Amino acid sequence: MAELPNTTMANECKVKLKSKDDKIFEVEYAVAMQSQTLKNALAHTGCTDTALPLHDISSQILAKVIEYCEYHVNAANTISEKDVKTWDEELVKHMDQDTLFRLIVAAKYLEIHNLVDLMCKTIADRIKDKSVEELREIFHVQNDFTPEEEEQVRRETKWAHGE
Amino acid sequence: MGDDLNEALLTMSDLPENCLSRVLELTTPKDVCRVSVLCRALKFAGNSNCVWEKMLPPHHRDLLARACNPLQFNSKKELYFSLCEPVSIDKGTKKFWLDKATGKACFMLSPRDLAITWGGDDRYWHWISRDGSSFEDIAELIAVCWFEVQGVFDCKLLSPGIAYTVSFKLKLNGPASNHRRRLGTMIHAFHMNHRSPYGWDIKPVKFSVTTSWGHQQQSARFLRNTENPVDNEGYQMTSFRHVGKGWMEFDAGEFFVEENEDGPKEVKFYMNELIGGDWKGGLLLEGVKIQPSYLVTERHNVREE
Repeated sequence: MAELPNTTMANECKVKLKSKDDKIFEVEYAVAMQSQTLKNALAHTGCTDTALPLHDISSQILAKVIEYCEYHVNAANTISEKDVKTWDEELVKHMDQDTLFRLIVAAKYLEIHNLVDLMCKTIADRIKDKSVEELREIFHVQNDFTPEEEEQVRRETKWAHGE
Repeated sequence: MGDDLNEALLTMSDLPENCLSRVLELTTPKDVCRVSVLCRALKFAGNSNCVWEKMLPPHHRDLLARACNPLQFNSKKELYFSLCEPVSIDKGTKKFWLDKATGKACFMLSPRDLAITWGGDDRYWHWISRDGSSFEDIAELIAVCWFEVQGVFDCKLLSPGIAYTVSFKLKLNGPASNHRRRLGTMIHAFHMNHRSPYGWDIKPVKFSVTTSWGHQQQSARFLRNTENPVDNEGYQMTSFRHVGKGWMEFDAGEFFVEENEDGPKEVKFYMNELIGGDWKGGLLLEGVKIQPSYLVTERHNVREE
């Protein structure tokens, strides 16, 4: 039966994660603990040499998640809140839409709450004050309304469309 | 196992539902409505109660409990849009509504909600009824030396995190019109003699706003010949706007409502002319408006009609 690693073990434990495309990533225990999902998984397995498979997360996205978690673990007591916020903003500033969405899905699956919050806020900021046409283009949304349905929803939200 | 390169791009509607809700909650009512036009899934997400609950002011349940007429609604979204039209509360002494684009709370207080010195004495003030006014009764100043109107408001009812402006909505009497005057519980139709405004050129009226957390603003303005300087009295000039049909809104002051603060928070506002000792009259007071400051700065001056 597996046991929770004690502090010494925790400091030495390296967690292995395997992405969807079979790349192995090794992270410090403290970094993995940023994810509630991994925390629960490791509570069962203890410190193990077997890589935890993350079936739906690509290596590109997993690398970003790890980058975020590593920074936040190191920043925890050493870097000012303001500087952490600036770092977060830099991380997402030029992220394309697809990466943003994949990252939020990964963060949700891994239950990394402050990363989910950051992603939600970033997407919300990109939505604000955009016209319908701009939104459609930025977020690649296909229109699946019938002409009647579209006319109705446009009519109901007419006030929101004027400038 | 798919190859990354061949995967279709994710769209907003691919997000897990509670993520999408979270995202929309962080935008504004206007944005949510625009997103709803994109596709069926987003229209559905944009109608959710979680999203619209977040758009309503934190104390909307208290306000609904104080409404004169109960509101009917089948969803939070419906409730939101119902509240974009003014709702009478507190036995008709106040009105409240939401700014549609942002959901921020706005209030108008009737003169009945204010403390008007000598207001109960009909030698000095009348209570009249006028078509098109916000309230059943508005106050008409016949004549006073001691011109003093004050009020107080519980800031807990306001939307936190923004600045608010308090304005007195008033008008100097125009040509005679058919007022209906309230005498006790009866309303009589009178053809009033032309009661020209007078006495407003001598001293400026002073305005102030004071909050229970120690913020204070003071200013002054002549109600007639409004460009006459007041700085020889040591005051800033009160901002004001024409809002149509001769009405003007004078901004008594501005204050910021902090988020997450406990303890009682109230704002007091004050309009007076006490030092001149001159008689003044011929003024109508429709009430006090308390609205987000961004709405005030967006307004253009409306030419008098």
